[in-house]
Amino acid sequence: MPAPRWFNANTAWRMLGSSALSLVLTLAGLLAVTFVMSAFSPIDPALQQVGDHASAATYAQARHALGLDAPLPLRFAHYLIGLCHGDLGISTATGQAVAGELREVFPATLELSTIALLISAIAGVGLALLSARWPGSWVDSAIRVISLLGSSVPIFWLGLVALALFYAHWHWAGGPGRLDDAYEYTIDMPTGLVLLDSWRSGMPGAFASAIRHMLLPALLLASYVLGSIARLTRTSLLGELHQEYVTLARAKGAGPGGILLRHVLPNCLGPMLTVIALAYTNLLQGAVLTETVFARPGLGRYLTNALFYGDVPAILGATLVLGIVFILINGVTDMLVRLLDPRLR
Amino acid sequence: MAEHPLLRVEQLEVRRRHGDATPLVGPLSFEIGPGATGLVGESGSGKSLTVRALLQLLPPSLQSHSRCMQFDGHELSTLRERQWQALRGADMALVMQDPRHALNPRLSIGTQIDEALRLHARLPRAERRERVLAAMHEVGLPQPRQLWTHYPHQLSGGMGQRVMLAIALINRPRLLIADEPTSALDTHLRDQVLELMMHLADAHGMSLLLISHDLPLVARHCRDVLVMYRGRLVDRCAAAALDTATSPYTRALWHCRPSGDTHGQLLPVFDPAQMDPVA
Repeated sequence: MPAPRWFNANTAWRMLGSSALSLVLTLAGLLAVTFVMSAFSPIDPALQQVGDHASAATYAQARHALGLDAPLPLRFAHYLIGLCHGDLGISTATGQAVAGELREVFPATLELSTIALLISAIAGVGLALLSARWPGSWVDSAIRVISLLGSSVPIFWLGLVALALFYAHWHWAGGPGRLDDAYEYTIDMPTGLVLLDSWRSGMPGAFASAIRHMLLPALLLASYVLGSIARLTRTSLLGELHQEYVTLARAKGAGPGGILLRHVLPNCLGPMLTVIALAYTNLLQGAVLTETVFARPGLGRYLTNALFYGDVPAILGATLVLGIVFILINGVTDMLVRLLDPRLR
Repeated sequence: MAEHPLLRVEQLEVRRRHGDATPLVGPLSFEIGPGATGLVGESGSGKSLTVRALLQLLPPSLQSHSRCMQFDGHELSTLRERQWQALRGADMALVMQDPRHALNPRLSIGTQIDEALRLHARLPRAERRERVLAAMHEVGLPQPRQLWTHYPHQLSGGMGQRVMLAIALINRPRLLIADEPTSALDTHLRDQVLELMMHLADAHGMSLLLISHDLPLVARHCRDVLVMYRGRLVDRCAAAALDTATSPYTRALWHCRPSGDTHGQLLPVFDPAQMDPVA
């Protein structure tokens, strides 16, 4: 087959350019919001540093040292310059650079939620196809119940039950943490992605252990968004079945399964991608609870701790990272939806 | 008809699956082919439902029933869905009204024509490709090789209708059913596409069922005409005999054409009270 004629490099670049521009603008908005949040937060970092009983002079000195006495625009400029150098401030709770701490915990969250996303997207679309193939049948009802259960049972409760059954009782899955204790402190974590690092460590036991520990949290997290992916994809598939091109496909002699897969599914790509992107952002949020229940290091647990300690730079740093990831996910989805639709290319 | 009819239908009815028992269409009895048969009637007279029932393509909320439906001597009313799938597109093909909606917006033209072939013939890829290109050439699509990777939204209405015709003809069906094939086109294209369809049906010895609300157009192109009104068949006659039709509805439909001759005169008005449905 000849090279696809639709691919016009010019339009593709123009489209990517306009998407990139809107990404940059949204990012600027996010930066302004996080800065304003830090500037007007009721927690006073200077007071936090010197304590309640410090003299006024000590307090003023601390304020000056932290740059809090400068005018707001200047502080915003300092904040931006710091960001450009990868400086997100110093955590008031640990005294470490927030950027460094985030670099350690964020890959773990990204890994967990990406694996959960893959599971839920594949299973969700598969279940939706089954539902749409036999709508109103017992298959459809069973899938409806499964999806409702997943999204309506609280994840921390489900997590505890799963741990009690599959770990404590039957020993099928790994327990809390990312690895068995034997490996936890012996393996190097250069990337922070436990599956990748344990694979590269050359110890098969470590990789198996990482998978066993990943299984329950990933499945639970996946079940949290599985329902919405399955339900919305099913609705979108069934809506397309009334289209005239479906009648023509039937008139050609195509069977119901072939019509769903070859004709209807491609026409649902747009809504499906949007639902899956939304699920991804939900998963990153859901990871907070999952990481807490399963005692896995990650952005979720980091953020929870930072909130308890009133650690403003850590909270804002984590917020910024999450915000950037949300913006990127939405931007990439937007581009994909447009690139995949021949009418919008 | 002297020759053996290709399709013979007796007491065909279309009803709602749930709800009242009065049929939406029928009971209808008619014969189609050989040659071209026209099915005319105003909007809502049940033409499209009849066509869908002939191909078993009714929406799930409707069902059809017939005492007998014989295609080339084979009884169709007892076929299972699988057997219908083998029949549809291979022996009976459909051309729909509006290519902008009937072609899949996400699939390339070549893929969509190729699918019709792939569903009914086990051929190597290269041979299928040759057949698709030949079919595209046959319906007058220019530069089939380039057009292969185009998408429906890049085509004009006339070209879209030619693509649909290629899809319908590629398996050389015995019966071609065209449901208002030219209503979405402008007058100039209308005749072109219709001429092409007539020519190809003739060349390949296909029978044709042409559904239209345009009686003069049907009279020009078809040998026999079936007239529907409110879900019933009210008249059937040779196209040449439409001038002298006896049914009051057909007469009103036939004479109700404004032209230079009727300028300044009132057109005839049909009085439903005169109706006495046949069949």
